[in-house]
Amino acid sequence: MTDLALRLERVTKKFDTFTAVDDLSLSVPYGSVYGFLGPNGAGKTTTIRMSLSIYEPTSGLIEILGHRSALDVRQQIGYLPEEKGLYKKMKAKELIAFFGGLRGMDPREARSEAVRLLERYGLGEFVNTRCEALSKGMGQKVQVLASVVHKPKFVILDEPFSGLDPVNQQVLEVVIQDLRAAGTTIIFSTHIMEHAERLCDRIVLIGRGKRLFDGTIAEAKRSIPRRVRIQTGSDPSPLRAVHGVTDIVRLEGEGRWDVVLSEGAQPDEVLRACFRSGVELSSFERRDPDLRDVFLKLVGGEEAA
Amino acid sequence: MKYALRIGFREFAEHAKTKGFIIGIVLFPLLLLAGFRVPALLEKISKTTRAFAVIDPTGELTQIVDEAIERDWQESDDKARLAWLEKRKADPATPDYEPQKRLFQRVELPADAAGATTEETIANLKPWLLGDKKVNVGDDDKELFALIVMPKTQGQLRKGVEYWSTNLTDDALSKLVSRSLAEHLRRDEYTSKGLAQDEVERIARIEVRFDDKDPRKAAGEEDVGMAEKARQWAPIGFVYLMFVAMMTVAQMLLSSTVEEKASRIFEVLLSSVTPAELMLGKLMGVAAVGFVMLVAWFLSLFAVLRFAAGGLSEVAGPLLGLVFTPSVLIPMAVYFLLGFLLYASLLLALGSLCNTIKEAQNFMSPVMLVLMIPLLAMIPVARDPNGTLAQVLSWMPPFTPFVMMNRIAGEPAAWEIAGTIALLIVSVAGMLWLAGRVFRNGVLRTGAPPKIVELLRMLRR
Repeated sequence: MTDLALRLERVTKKFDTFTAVDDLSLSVPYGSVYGFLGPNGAGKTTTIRMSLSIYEPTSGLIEILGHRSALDVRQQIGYLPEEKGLYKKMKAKELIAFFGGLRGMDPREARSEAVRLLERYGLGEFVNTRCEALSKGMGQKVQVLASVVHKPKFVILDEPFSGLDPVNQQVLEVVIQDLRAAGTTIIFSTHIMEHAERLCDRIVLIGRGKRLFDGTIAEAKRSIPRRVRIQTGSDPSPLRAVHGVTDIVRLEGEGRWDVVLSEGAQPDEVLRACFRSGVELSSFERRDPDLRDVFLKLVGGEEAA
Repeated sequence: MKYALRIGFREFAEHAKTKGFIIGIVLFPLLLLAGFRVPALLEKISKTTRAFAVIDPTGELTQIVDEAIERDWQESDDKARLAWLEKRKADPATPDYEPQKRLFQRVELPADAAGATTEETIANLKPWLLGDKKVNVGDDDKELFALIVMPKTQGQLRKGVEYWSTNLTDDALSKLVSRSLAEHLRRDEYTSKGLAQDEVERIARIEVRFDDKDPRKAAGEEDVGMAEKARQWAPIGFVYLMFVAMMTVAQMLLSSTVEEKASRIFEVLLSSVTPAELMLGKLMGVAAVGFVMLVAWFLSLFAVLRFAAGGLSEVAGPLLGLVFTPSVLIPMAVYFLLGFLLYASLLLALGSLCNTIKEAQNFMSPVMLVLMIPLLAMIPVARDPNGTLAQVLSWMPPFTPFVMMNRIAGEPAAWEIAGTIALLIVSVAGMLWLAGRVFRNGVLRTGAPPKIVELLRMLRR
C-alpha cells in the first residue's frame, strides 16, 4: 500500500516510431490538486490515457489508487477528456446518470444525484433539456458533472477550462474547490497558468514527453531568476557590475530592459545602482516570476534544445 | 457484463426512441394493409366509363365492337357477382350487389362533326378528341377518349384500322377492339374452310390440366395446394425482411459509432469500460433494436394476412404453421443471430475507423455489394433449395445465414444445417476478434481512415 493516488515509474509510450511519453516518472499524493502543464503535443493527454488504462504503456509501471489497471478501480475514478462530446439526444440528467451508471452507481441514485448536481451548479432549469439544445459552455459543465457524479476519489480533468467564458470558469473553479474540500485527489491539465497558480498544490511540467519540472508552485517560481524591468534613455550597461545581476536583456520598445538577478539578490540594489551610476529611470518594476515565466523558460529551453 | 448491459440499454433506448424507428414499426403494417387494399380501392375510384366513337363506312363492324364491349363487361360482372355471392354466404350482412361499372361506352358521332368524307369527319372531330368539346353519355358530358376509324371494306381490315387517342398508355380499349375484330376475321376464315363455329370454339378450349403432387406426403393426400406453394416461397419473404432489418440496424450501428467517435465520447466510455464490454454492449443494444423491429413486422405481417387480406388468409395459416415449426424456427433464429453478429461486428469495426458518416459510407458500398449476392440468389435458391448454387453459397460464411434461411423450407440435410452453423460460429468468433482489435485501435484514432497497410498493422497490435 502506498500513499500515492497515482504513481508512474519510468513510463514510455511509443506510437510506431514516435515517442509520445519518454521515461516519465511521477508521484501524485492522495488529496492533492496536481496541475499538468505543458505545450500542445507534450504528451499530457497520452500520460492521462495511460493512467486510465485506455492506452497500454510501451514500458514502465503505472499504479493508480494502488492498482495496476484503472478498470479495477473505475468506480473511484472520474475523467473529463480534452475533447468534449455528449450524446446529443440524451437529456442532461440522463446523460450524467448514464455515466454514473458506468462507474457502478445504482441507476436511481445516479439520477437523483445528477439532478442535485445540476441544481447545485446553476443548471437546474436544464435538467430535462436535451444535450443538443445546450450551449457549448453548458454542455461542458454537464460533462464535468458527469465525470464526478459518482463521488470519485480521484478525478482527472483534461483541459477543463478551455472554451468556457469567465463566469463558467468561475463555476468550474468552485466545482474543483468543492472536490478538494471533499478530499478528492485531482489532476487537471491546463494552458491557463492563472488557474494552475490559484488551484494547484503541485504542478508537473511536461515537454516532448519528458518531465521538465515537478514540485510546488513556490519551488517552480524559485527555479527561475527574478527580474527587474526598467525603462531608461541611458545605457544600462553599468548595472552589470552590480552584485547579483547576471544578465541584462533588451526588450521590445524604446529603452526597455529586463535586469536578471541571481537567487537571493535584492532588486533594491539595482535601484540604488541606477541612481549611483546615473542611469535615468522613467520606470522601475519588480517582477516576481509567475508560472507563465516558468513555463516559457522551461518549455522555451526545451524547444530550443 | 453489467456495464456492457448498461451500454446496450442506452444504445437501444437511443434508437428505439427515434421517430424513424417508431414510424418504421407503425408504417410497415399500414403499408402492408395498403398494399392489399389500395389497388382495389383505387381501381374502384379511378375507373370511369370512357367514351369512344367509331367511324364505320362498312356499316357492319360497329356491331362487332359493341358485342365485344358488352361481352367484356358481362364477364367481369359475372366474376364480381360470384365473389359477392360467396361473401354474402359467409357474412349475410354484406351489402347488396352493385353491378360493375362499364369501362367503355360507344357514343354516336356528334351530329355537327359529320363531314363529306372520312378524312373530313376525322378533322371535324379533333376538338372532341383534344377535349375542347364534350360528348353526351347518359347524364354526363365526357371527353371523347378515342376514335376508331374502320377501313372502307372488310377486306382491308387486316391493316386498315386507325385508332385516334391522346392517351398513349391505356391500351385496354384498342386491345379489346383489335382482338374482337381479329376473332371476327378468323371466324370468317374458318367458315370459308367449312368448319362450324361451335366446333372451332370447342377446339380452341382444349387444355391440359396439371395436378401438383408431393411424393413426401402420405398416400392419398399428395395434392399440393396453394398454401403449400406459398410455404416453399415464404422463405424469400423472410430473407428479404432480414435483409431490410439488417440494413436498418447496420445504418444505426454505423451512425452511432461514428457519432461517438466524432464527438469523442469513446474516450470517457473507455475510461469506464473495456473495449470488449463497449463493443458487446453496442452489439446487444442494436441487436435488441433489430429484434423488436423484426418481431413487430412479423406480427403485423401475420395479422394482416390473417384478418385483412381477404383471399390470402388461406395462405396465412400454413405460413404461421411454417414459421412456428421448431425445425424451422430454431435454425432461422440461429442463422439470423449469427448473421447479424457477423455483419454488425464488421460494421462496428468500420465505424470505429471513420470520423464522418461520409467516410463510413465509402466503406459501406463494398459491404452492400456482398450483401446483394444472396439477395440476387434468392429466387434461384428458392426454386432449387438443394441445388448446387444453394449448396455452394451455403458454405460461404458471408452468405450462409441468408441462403440457409432461404433453403430452410426445402428441408436441407441435417448435417448441412449443423455444418454451416458450426462454420458460421467460427467465422463470427473470428470476425468478433478482428473487429475487437480494429475497434480498440480505431476508436481513439484521429484523422483520415487508415489505409490497408495500417489496418493490417492494427490487427497485429
